[in-house]
Amino acid sequence: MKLRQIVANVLGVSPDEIRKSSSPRDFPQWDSAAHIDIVLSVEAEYGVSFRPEEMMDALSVGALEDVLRRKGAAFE
Amino acid sequence: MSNGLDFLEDLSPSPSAYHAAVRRLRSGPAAQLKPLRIAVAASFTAGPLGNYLEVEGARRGFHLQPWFAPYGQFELQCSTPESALFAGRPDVVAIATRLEDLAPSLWHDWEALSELEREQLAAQACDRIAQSIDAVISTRACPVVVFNFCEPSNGSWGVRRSPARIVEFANARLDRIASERPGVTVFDFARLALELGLRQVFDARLEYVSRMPFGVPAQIAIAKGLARLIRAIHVPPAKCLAVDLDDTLWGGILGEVGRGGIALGQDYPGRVYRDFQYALRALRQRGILLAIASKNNEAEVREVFAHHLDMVLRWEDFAATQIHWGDKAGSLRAIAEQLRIGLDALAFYDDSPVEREWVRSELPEVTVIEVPTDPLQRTAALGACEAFDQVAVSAEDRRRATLYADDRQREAARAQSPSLTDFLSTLGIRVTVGPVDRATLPRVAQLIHKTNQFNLTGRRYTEPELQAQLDGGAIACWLRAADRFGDYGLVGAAIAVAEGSASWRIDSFVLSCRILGRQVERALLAAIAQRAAACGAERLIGEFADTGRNAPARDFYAGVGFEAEGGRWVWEFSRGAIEHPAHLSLEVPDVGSQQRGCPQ
Repeated sequence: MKLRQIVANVLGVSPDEIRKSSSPRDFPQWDSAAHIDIVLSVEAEYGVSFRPEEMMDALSVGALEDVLRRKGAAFE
Repeated sequence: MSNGLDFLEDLSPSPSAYHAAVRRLRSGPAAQLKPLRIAVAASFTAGPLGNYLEVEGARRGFHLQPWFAPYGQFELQCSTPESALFAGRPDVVAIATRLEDLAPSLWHDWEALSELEREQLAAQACDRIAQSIDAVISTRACPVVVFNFCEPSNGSWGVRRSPARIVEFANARLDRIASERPGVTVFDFARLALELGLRQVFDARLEYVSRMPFGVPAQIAIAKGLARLIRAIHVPPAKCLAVDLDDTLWGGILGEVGRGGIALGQDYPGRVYRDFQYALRALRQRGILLAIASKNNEAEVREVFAHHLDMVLRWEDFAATQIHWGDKAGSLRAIAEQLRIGLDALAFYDDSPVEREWVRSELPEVTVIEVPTDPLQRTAALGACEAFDQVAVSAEDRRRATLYADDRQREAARAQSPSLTDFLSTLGIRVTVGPVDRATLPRVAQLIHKTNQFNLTGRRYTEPELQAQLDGGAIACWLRAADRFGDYGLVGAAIAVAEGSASWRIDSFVLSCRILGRQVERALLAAIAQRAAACGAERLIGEFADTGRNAPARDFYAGVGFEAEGGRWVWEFSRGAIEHPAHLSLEVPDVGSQQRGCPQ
């Protein structure tokens, strides 16, 4: 599943609305609980594990991509 | 899965998949499910369980609507009648706590504490839970589910002995707390943690980042277990399991290999089938009837039962047998008819996928159990089958199999009697009627829950709801019956409530199908009428609500002589009392109980 689809599923929006810059500022429903759901879904989908700091800091689609890139996960 | 819920199959274990599934569920299919509000009062952040609960509920026919007490408020929400928890009018309340939260010093100061002090801390934690349970029960008559404890995430390395003993101590105390309170059930989280393993259960990152101690696999497992338990609270267990014989009770085809050739014994593979028979016997011991639906020659099968030394189950263990070459849908119909149970109370276990598919298509009401091809996994599959789940096993359940064996003898006697009246008088039926109290409440609740055919109003009450009715002044009677062939047990119950000062209404009236056709229902009616009259009733009102399944009860009040009035049935006591049937001898266990039902 695409990263954008994961984020869109959790937020309940269309994947078209999700950009690389998308962050909690753009979606009121992107609260701390939704953010953890996004991170846990990314972990399940790409077989990676986030450190607590990474969980808390990766607060945009781009930042999530950076973590995945650092961990050597192939994503689209 | 039919009913448009296919999208719930094979969900990826990821929050995003469940978010999407829940959205789709709520957009339509949920409307066909039975709605059920569940309030979760947890000592940790339980909110992430919500989506998993909705999905697992939907898989079992419920639209679970979870509500979570805010973090740190589980006791406050339970103990305040005006709280948001009660404002949401929950149908079930789950109390989920951890010893880590209720008694943190138990683990922090483990080495500094004596064993007695550890027990005291654990006991105090349990007693706090008991207080919350009592507060919930007194504010709202709904079932309560309480989590027990698993061992802490940080265990026993180095010098420390495993804290298992203290956890067991606390869990034993919780068991006692639950068993002393009607409608309270323990959710066996300890067992769940064992099955999953502590390393899978706990996710330290989530604990520290969000105060949700459990990882996604454990959250899903908790939701599944909780939904299963909630289903068991609301759905009565299947009454009978019909099993195949060849490659089910023993290995091999009897007709081909003969009695000496079937796999059944002390070594592999025969021991696998023996253990499966033990699992069936355990079901029978808690009240599930066993039946045989097999394509075989009955004479050969009886030879196996009579002479194979490794058979665990006896021929008499089966309440009904259909052994012939006819189709199995017909066999199952005959079994249901003989045992006087509905097809929806019947489960079917057969190793042949062809037979399973046939029964599924012919008799969609029957629960067809998925049987793994690997015999080693079959006993576990029986345990995983939720059709036999029941939250409490009553003394009646334990005796049921014997009761049906008595029935087979009665049928034989009936065949020899010239008429029904002769038969009834030769049975020598004795009935006992008494007031519903703490000891009989669970069985009465079970009877009201499970009875379909002779159920006048079809109203279903949980134990706490029944208790609330009693506390509110309702008259409730139970009836036991016995005859010369054996004891039927507690087989009837009736509840009457005051409707104005001189008028009482029979709110519920149920009689087990085991005792139908012996006019015992008249004895129960006479008893409840007598009690209502003693409380000042001048008229007794009966109702019949067509549930689609209670046709045997339709003409009950008319038959006794009640008069129709505005869709209900009325007996004026000015006409006299309702008479106890002459062919039944009546025993009253407790004369003082006559006053028990009167509200004042």
